[in-house]
Amino acid sequence: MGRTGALESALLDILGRDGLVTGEAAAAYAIAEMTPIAVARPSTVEQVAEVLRLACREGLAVVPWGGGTMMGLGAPPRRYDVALDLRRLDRVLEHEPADLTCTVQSGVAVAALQSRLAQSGQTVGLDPPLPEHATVGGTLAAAIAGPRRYACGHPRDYTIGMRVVLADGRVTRAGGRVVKNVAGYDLCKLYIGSLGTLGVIVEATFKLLPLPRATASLAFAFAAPQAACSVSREVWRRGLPVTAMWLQREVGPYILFLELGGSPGAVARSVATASELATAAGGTPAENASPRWQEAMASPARGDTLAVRLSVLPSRLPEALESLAVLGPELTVAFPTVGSAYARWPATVDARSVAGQALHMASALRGTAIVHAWPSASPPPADLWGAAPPAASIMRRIKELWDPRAVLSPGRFVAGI
Amino acid sequence: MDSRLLQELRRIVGRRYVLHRPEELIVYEYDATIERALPEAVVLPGSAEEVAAVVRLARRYGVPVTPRGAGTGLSGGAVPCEGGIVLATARLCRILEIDPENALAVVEPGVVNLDVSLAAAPYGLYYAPDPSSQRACTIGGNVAENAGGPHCLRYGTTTNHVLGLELVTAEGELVWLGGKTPDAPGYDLVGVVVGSEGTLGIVTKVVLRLLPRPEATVTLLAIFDDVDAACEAVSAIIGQGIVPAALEMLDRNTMLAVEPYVQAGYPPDAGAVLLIEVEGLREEAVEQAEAVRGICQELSAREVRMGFTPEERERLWAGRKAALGALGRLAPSYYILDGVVPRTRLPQVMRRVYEICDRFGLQVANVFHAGDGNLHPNILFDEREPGAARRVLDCGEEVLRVCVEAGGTITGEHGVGYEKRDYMRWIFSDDDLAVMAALKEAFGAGEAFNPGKVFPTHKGCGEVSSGMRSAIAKVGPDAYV
Repeated sequence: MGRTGALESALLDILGRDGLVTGEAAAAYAIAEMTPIAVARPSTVEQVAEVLRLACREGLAVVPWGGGTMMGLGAPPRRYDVALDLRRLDRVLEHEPADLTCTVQSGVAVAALQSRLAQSGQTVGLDPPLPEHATVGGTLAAAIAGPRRYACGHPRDYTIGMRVVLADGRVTRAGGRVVKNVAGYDLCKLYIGSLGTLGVIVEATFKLLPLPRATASLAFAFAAPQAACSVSREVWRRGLPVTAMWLQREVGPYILFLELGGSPGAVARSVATASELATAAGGTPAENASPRWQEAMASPARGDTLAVRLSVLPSRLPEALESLAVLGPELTVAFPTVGSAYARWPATVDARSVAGQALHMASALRGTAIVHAWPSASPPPADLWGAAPPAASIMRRIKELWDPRAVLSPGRFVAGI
Repeated sequence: MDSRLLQELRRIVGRRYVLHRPEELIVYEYDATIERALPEAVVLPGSAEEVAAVVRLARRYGVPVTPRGAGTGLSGGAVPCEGGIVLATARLCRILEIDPENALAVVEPGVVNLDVSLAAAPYGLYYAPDPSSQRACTIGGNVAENAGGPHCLRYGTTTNHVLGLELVTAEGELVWLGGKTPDAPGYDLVGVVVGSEGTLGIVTKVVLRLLPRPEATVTLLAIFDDVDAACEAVSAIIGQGIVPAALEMLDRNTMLAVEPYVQAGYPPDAGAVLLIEVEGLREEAVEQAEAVRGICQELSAREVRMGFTPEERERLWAGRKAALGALGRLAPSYYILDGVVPRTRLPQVMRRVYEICDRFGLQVANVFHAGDGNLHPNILFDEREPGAARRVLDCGEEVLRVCVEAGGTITGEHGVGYEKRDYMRWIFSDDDLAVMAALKEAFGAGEAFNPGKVFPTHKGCGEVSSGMRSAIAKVGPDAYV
């Protein structure tokens, strides 16, 4: 029995028939051009721990998977033996509506969680693209925040606890189940956005929000980004009850989408106020515009498009959007009050050249940029994450201490981590 | 302390800014808690570069450095448990930038919390976290402890409002974590430094997020016959989908202390008061205020007052704001706890708090962030009475146990510090703690900064508690207020 056979049989012992995918079917878990030997589909936290203990002992490389909607983010792994599909960890463990918190396993799809919470008139801030597929754990690991970031913040703001299996199989807790907690270092923050390089998130506890009683959606088209951004800023300054906001451009106008939610009276006045502000800034109603932010933000493991994420000061976003437009993206989505933008180009573009220009432009604007999705047909450049961050040496030490044998997603992250 | 070290410290920060005489050091031996420990020297650097130079020097001499803001902390965070140098941030007190367009502020760590909001006020902006000590406490201390405050219910704690930090590492290097722009690539080191109680590095600049002032704010004060009914109202408000900006509770003992002092108009036989603030657009605030009033009345509040103008609201808040100071009328000292429980467990846990304090023969005054489930039992005592301090600590330990057993935690906003470090094992396993220790190692911090804090000792609980008790025995009666 070769290495593959031995690995399969060891995994079979841990996971049983239902928990193991091998052969041709494993190709569905390819990242760029790399296919894993086996796919582990654990149904318990203990199985996750056992798979990782095995990997640590045998020096295998493991890449955690959720819904696969963000697997194009980051460099292809340096090594890739086992895909760890967490979608069978799909239970809501605790939801006491009057506590306004819930604890779930990480493989729960975000849309499924939201519809469960909605039965109690509540919602969680999680807002990834393709929420029917995106899992809670994957959204945390990739630190993805969609248009609801405007009102709910980033996953780091409402995640209050986690259970994480470390690379050597130890099962650890971070945070807790109450909304305020300063006992010890806040390690949840470390795992959010760590892209599966430090541990496998198996549970998470969230602060929840009540669903608004009344809602409304608005969209306005603007010829230039400056006007749209100034309207968004004024909406923010006046405290209109906006639950989601984004700016979107294909070719042609910039469309500002606003979703409002709150008491009926407040929403009614806000619709009028926002419309007045938009009109005064030269905007025209764009009710028929279709929302495409999810397409701009999704990053499948084997996509054929280039996407770049740009982060600048909100005041410099109009300038950034003008510069991006010169590079001819097919779709741009921006969060104006945050200072974040995603731009997407078709497969036919010279990805290396466009990405290089976008990254350069971000640093000229004193911001940062990363390659959010890379066309899998061509080998990615080394600087997918832009220049190494100032604290790269601390980050590398964290990786070495958490995962000395480089079991988890090796080479996927910033600074070669 | 080594005279060569003192000499070199003077060369870095200037002679005036190195304190070493006993009468100078004694001012720096305490914060707002129980522990006291004398530093061997105090330095007051005037720039981030000076901080870095002090840290490099201390490292060369193997002397620990404990950063200190205003000393208002409630977990001994600024007390140099193991001696060494106290690095006071009093001179690092410049607001470097208010950027209204991007709604952010860049400040040095010694800036007073409230001063950020005052500086931002001309632009209609403010800094949301509002610890009760916000007129005195500093942003550096807030960052270290991940400080909270009444309005954290809606707006979150310090960690939700810090975008970036400049940090002096144990190697004495200045490094930026995060910054003014969002989503910095890499691990979220800002998120782990906030709340690390000064153990990972010394923060020398902070980028803060500012918020616009809401259009309307309504404050309600609801008077209940007992704590049970008030707790029920808390659950009902949250359960009905209202998240107020603040939701505070005062119990009878607190009212008894406050009333003669500020004449808040609390009836002498009332059992509990809820202070509720809702805000947003006018329509939203008024509608929520009416809903809250309805809920309180339905749950047999004997009176609900509402305040709309700043003056009316200020009057309703007066009792809450004066509460901790007023406790001095009831007893010479108090020991403040900071447990958190799930909101739905408040009624049971509050009953247990009173039972436990009764059993220990100690009076307790509760004034706390009910909406967050964040309790602040203030155990009243007179430490001149033999054995009192010991009883207080045992009582406090039992109360925190009850919080943990209810699914909560040992500290919601004050920090672990020294006094609660051995309770960490109640909520974290050895593996959990080992991972936290690894973070300290990754920062290369070792015992360079604020040693003796956060992490449990290897001693058994009894031994540690006795160490703590001997520390208390040295405490003077004025140490708590």
